[in-house]
Amino acid sequence: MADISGDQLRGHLETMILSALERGEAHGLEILRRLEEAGCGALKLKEGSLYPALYRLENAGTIAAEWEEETKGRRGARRRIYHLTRSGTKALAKGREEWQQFVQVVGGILAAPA
Amino acid sequence: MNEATLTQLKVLVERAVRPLQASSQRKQEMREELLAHLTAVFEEEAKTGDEAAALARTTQRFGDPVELAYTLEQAVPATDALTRWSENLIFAPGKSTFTRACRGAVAVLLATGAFLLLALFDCGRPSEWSPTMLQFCGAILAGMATMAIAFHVLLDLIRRVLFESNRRSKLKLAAICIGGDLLYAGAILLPSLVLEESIRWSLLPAAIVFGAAMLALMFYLAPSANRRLQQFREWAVLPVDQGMRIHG
Repeated sequence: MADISGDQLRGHLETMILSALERGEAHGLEILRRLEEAGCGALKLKEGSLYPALYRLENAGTIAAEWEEETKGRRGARRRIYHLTRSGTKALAKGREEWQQFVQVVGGILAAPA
Repeated sequence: MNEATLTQLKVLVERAVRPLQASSQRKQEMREELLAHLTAVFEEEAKTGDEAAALARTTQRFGDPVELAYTLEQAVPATDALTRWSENLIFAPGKSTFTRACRGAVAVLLATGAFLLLALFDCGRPSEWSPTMLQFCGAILAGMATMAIAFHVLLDLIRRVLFESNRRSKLKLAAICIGGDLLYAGAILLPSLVLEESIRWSLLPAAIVFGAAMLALMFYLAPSANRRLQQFREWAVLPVDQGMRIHG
C-alpha cells in the first residue's frame, strides 16, 4: 500500500484525531499510535503536525485536555491528556457523514469506466 | 538520556515555539507538551539503537520545526494578542526593570492622558482651560507615572527578596512595604498639593490603604513573575536562530 502523507491528510486529520479519541482519552503520542495502527502502517505523518491540529480542536471545543498529574516514572515533562467533548462527538458524527458522502461521490466518478 | 541530548530536544521545541506570537503561558505549555512528546519518542528509538541514531530518528519523526511554527501560529487564538500585550507590559522577562518601568509608565501616561483630555474637552475649548486645571492634570500624570514606575521597581524588589535571596529578609520586606506605601500615598496626595497649595491630609488614610492594596497585588504577582523569569532563563539560553519571526 502506498504511503499517505501530510498533503493527502489535509482536511481530514482533525476528524481522524476525533475518531482516535473516541476509543478513550489519550496523550499526543498515543493518538499517533492509534492513527498509525488504524492506518495499517500506510499513514506517514510528521509527528509535530499533530499538535497544531490538537490545539485547533481544543480551541473549537471539540476536545478538552488536562495535564497528567505526575510523570509516572517517566523522565521529563508532563503530558497533556486529551478527551472528546460532547461537541466533539457530534463533530465526529458529522465528519463521518461528510466523509461517506465524499467517498460515494468521488468513488462513483472514479469507478465509472471511460 | 544525557543533558546534551535533552538540550538538543529542547532546541528543536524552541525552534517551533519561540517565534509564536502567543501568550507566554500558552508557549510554555506548548514547550512542555512537545518536549514530553520528543523525550518519549527518543526513549522509544533509543531502545533499538545508539543515542545519536535515536536523536536523528526523533528529529526526522518530529518534522521541520520552522514548518511546525507556521502551523502552530495558525492555532493560536486571536485573544492571545491582548494577553501577550499585557504580559509584555507587566512581566516582559527578557527586559530590564528600567525598561519595563518605562514601558509601564508610557502606557499609563497614554491611558490617563487620553482620559484627562476627554475631561478637559468636556469643560470647554482649549482656550478656556485654566492654568490651574492644566497644573492639576500635570500633577495627576506625574503621580500616575510615579505609581507605574514604582510598581515595576517594587515588584522586582519583592520578587528578589522572596525568591533570590538566600534567606527571606523580613527587614528588607518591611522596608519595601513601608517605602512603597509612602510612595503611593505621596503620588495620591500630589494633585491636591498642586490644586490647593497644601496637602489635603484627609486623603491620607485612603492613600495609605491604596498603597497597601498595590503592595498586596505585587506580593500576589511576585510568584508568577518569578516563574516566568525562571522559564525565560531556562529556554532563552538555547541556541536557536533569533532571526526567525512569524507575523500573522
